[in-house]
Amino acid sequence: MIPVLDVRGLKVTIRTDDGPAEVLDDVGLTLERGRILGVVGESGCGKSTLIRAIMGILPKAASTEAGEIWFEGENLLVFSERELNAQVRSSRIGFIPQDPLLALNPVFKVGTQLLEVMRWHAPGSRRDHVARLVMLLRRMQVPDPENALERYPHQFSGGQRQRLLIAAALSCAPKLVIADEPTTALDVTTQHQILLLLRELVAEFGLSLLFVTHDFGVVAELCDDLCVIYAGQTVEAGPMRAILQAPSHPYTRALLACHPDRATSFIGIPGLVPSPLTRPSGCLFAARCADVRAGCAEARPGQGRAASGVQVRCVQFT
Amino acid sequence: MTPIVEVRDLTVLVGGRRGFLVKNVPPVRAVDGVSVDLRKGEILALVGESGSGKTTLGRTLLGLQRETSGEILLDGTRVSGLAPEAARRARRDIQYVHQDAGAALDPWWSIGRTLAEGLLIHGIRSSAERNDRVAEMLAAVGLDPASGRRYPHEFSGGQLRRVALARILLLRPRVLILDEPTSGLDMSVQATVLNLLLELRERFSLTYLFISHDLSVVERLSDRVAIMHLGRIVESGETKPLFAQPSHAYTRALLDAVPRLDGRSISVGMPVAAN
Repeated sequence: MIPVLDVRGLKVTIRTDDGPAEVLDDVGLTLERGRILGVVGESGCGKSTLIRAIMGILPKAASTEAGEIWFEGENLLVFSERELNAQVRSSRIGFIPQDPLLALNPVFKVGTQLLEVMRWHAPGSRRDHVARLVMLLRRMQVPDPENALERYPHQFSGGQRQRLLIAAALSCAPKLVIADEPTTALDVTTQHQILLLLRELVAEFGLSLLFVTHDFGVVAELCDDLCVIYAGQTVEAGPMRAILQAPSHPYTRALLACHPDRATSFIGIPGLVPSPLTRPSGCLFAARCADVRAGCAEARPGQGRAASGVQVRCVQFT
Repeated sequence: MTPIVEVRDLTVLVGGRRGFLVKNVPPVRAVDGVSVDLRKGEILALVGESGSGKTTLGRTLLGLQRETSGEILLDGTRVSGLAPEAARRARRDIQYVHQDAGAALDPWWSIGRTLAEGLLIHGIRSSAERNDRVAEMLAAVGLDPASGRRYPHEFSGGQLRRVALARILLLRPRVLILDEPTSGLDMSVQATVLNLLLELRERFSLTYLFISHDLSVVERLSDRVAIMHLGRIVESGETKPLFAQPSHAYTRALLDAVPRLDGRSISVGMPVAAN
């Protein structure tokens, strides 16, 4: 079976006043049908750029230099803007944003905003759309779903707003849903409820979910597969359990060691993610790596495999 | 251990309006009969969801919010029942570290100028002494002493937290109220900030009131925990036994919701409660 989403060797450069910035260098990930793939990395590693590249909403100064983005067997990179709007965005790829308050316009009713998306991207009449939205809101356990469409964003709590936006993402019956840290602004108990809900929705609506986060705890609860990104490269990818039990790449190991559940002392990872303007010629993690070896600073390591079958980009595994 | 701050039966009412032509709006009991001790040198974590009253409690301790009833003692001396300005003066030993370090700094002022301002307000007239103390404190929080010339936008999120700490520590407080000091930081940076907090506690003999809803951090960092729910402290005690055996239903619900690295995954079919 072909995967829902298959990104290969994606390279994205953004023109800046200080020269080209290699934001994504070599990102690859595979999301199989019906699964939840977690994308993890520090800020500045290219997680947001990756999402934008998949949805075709990169800034004007950005150019995709290499790579392929296969979505249900079609390469999205050859689609025109018009084709993406008509055939892909919202209708087949739904998006759940990080901050539900920023994503909703405070001066329009919730119904006006959610129905606008469906008017462009979903088949059927307005009456069908309203019926589907009410059904979705009921499923999202938004209180009083029939009248919710007539209310304004400020009349909902943070968790409820996130539920509204999950309903919006599902409104046009997409196959793939991309969620960008949808629970960071929420309390732990609300976060827990939203994660449970997402888990159920994936099974119920036959979705595949790409879940971007920097919280390994959330990954451990929710995801089936995991893709760790560092400085615009996929450094480790494979089944979530296998990676959390025995992380292979030094970066994954260091990140996991920062989590309070595993930390022996609060050391963190010394140093910073290298700037996309001046990427070193060798392994991008070499400067911060606890297990750095002689040749690490000279050549970029290719993709290798650990004994568990997990993909690892490190000289120790090639 | 002697308590440095004692809070006795504190109640804070917020908002509310006596209506003349409009209808009466009753005030909210943001803090409702809270009693808690802060012992010298400890880290007490105040945990609760948004709206539980933990920030209001912190603001009241500082003297920014006036208590409606109850007592606050600092070193055994009563510092409550004062007008806001007098209350703030009496509680100089208690300082607050803002949750959003970036928003708490003036983008048009260099870090050095911002840091020196606090010293000026506290009556240090010699600019040479101010500059020396700023440079010394920047070094203490692990920043380059020369970075006083730089502006807030030139710092990363983790560095801004350090600047915020330096700014407050210059005032030589003994009790720090830390409002979500690691929210919004990457795990790798969060660890270094927590490490710094532990170091500074030793070096300046500080006592922390650590306001957070990140229970995995609380579990690792704090000596004692107080769980707040709807303005009341529903459970408090030593961190380890409390986390191992929570007795209040709300504490259990809170602990169950924490995402764990090596715990259960969510399975389909578990009940979802509406919020």
